[in-house]
Amino acid sequence: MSDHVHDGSRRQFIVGGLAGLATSTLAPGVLIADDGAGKNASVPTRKLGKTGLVLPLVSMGVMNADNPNLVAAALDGGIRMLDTAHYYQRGRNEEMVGNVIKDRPRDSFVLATKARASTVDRSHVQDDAKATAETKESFLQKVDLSLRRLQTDHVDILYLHSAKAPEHVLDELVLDAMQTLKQQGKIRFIGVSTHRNQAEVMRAAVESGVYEVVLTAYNFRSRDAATLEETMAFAASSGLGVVAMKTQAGVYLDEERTQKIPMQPALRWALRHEFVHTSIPGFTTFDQLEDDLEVMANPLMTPEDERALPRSDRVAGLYCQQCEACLGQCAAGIDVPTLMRGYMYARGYRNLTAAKDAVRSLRLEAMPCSGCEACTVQCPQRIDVRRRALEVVRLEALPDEFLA
Amino acid sequence: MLGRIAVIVLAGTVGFSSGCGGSRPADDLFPRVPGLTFEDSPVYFGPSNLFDYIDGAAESYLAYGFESLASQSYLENGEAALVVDVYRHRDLSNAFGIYAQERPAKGPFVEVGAEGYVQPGVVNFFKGRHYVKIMSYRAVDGQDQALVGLAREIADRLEGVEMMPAAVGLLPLDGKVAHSERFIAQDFLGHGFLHSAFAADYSTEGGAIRTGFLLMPDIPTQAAEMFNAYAAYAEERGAVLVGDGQVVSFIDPYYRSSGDLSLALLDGAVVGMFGVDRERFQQLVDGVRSAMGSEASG
Repeated sequence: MSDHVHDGSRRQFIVGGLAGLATSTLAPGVLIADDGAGKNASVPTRKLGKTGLVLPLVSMGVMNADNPNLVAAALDGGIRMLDTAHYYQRGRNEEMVGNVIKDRPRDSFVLATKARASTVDRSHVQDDAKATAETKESFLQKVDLSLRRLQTDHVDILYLHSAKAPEHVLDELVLDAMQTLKQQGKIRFIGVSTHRNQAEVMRAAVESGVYEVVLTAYNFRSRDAATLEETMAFAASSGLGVVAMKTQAGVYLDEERTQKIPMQPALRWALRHEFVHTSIPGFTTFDQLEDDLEVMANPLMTPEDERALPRSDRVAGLYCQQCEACLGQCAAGIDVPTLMRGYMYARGYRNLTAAKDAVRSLRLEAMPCSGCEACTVQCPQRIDVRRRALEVVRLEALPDEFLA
Repeated sequence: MLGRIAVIVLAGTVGFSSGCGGSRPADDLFPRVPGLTFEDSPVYFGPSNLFDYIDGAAESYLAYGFESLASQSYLENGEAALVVDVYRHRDLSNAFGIYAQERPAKGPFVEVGAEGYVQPGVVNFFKGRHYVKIMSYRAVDGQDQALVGLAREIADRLEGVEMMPAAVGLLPLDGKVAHSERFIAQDFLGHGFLHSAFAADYSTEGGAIRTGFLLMPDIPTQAAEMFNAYAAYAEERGAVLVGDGQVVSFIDPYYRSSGDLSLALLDGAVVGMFGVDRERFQQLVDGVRSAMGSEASG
């Protein structure tokens, strides 16, 4: 592990102006990153578990980018791993990546993609491969199509996309297909990505003895971060590579979209444990790329970062997570999770019919909160329950024809 | 706050509207299909939970002003047979934008909605602010034509014009590569200060394909701000600017391989093109200016 820290600054990415541009798409004056063999030690790296891949702490999640120049600038700036998926932009994302990498030495970058299996998740996502019932053959064909789009004969990591439960991870068709692909040399390492029940999924991945990399959502707003971290550490100590995604938790802190998330501190937060081997932030502008390259060179959290980054217990969540911690807290005996679900239908889904149904199901006899001077409900997400309750219960007065 | 919610209702953000001007529940969007049955009622998703449905792909949809999704699954003998997804976006431009982002370059295209295409087991199209995706789980001979028929039936039930956004019509036809038009909703060219843009590919005399684009901010005065911001950005990074106050060319350091970028500031719009000489660029500018004039007088 070469997780040392370079004391560069943002200026180091920009100094040199245009004179030093070596290629047509090279970012101005960007540093050239470690190539994995230690030729350039200016950027901290970590080893991706037993894969042996050595990567900078920042890689690129390409899914939001439709700009090949941005991907090229990321590679020129020292990022080594690109992360895409079979179905992002119905395959156009893989095609775009393929056009960027086709003229670069295959060992100069690490390529990861993802494939879904309808045996795991009856996907409603369109694949260009024929959308029939999943078989081993159809899964293999899907990967072949990805390779053609990417204009390469192999990817370094193929993830089973979006596993939500241990049984998904252990799906026999997937395991069989993955191992066949590995034997064929079409993939080097087998991975699994997860956004939900991540701890269970990661433990299953470890226990399977097949998976070599896990890709998990992880950021300063992660719920039950302690359990997640414990499991990520377990996975890393078991030899799996651990890649973090959703590292900056979106763009805004608040529902009203007025407070922007401080991007560099958020990314550094996600990288502060060594069991996070690399990350895949999904930047879409060159400015954001430069920000992330600066984190790549200087990943240690500073006191300024600590101050800039709101702790999760100080930031209200967007919507109720139905954790039911508030049950029984309301002095008026109201079923708060149901009321908050109604609020989410109204504001989040804009489905006022469902919102009204949720409110109506509570059979409220009077305007809630009217008899209380202070709210007794303490939401772990710091949601302002009283304000939302007062807003959403008024739906009950709206005539149905307004909701049709 | 009641007023705020009522505004949401009256603005028509709940349910999907029919072509006859009235509103209809989303259930009525989905035609019956002979031999198939509905699997339960339609499922709805909003910005806060679209991720549950399409995972990471949701982020692109959100960038294109996604508002809601109604999804109806169909069964055949109890087995999944078909799914129809009707995505509603903020406006026509955004629906077109996400459609174009996922559109294959060569189609094949079909006349459904404003534009649509067919692939095995798949028909996708957009109409108004709706982006519709139909996917069959079956492999049945001749089903693609049936899916096109279903798509047209759904298109008839959706409100909105069966047209490209007006700004697409401002991009000159001369040399334009068919079906290359697109709308980028934010961070055009990877520059946050450019916001959104309409773009299309153009073939040149030498056979090269060059990108022409049109920035049309909602507030016309922002066009000059974008024009000046881009010039300043390039100059700060050492680019040499050639031209006068309304037309300028320079090399964007991130697009060096694309050649000079020419930019022209028009009334409320910015036109740009990579890698062409002054004469070819002027053709583009004249074409846009003429189309804008026609639009204004029409």
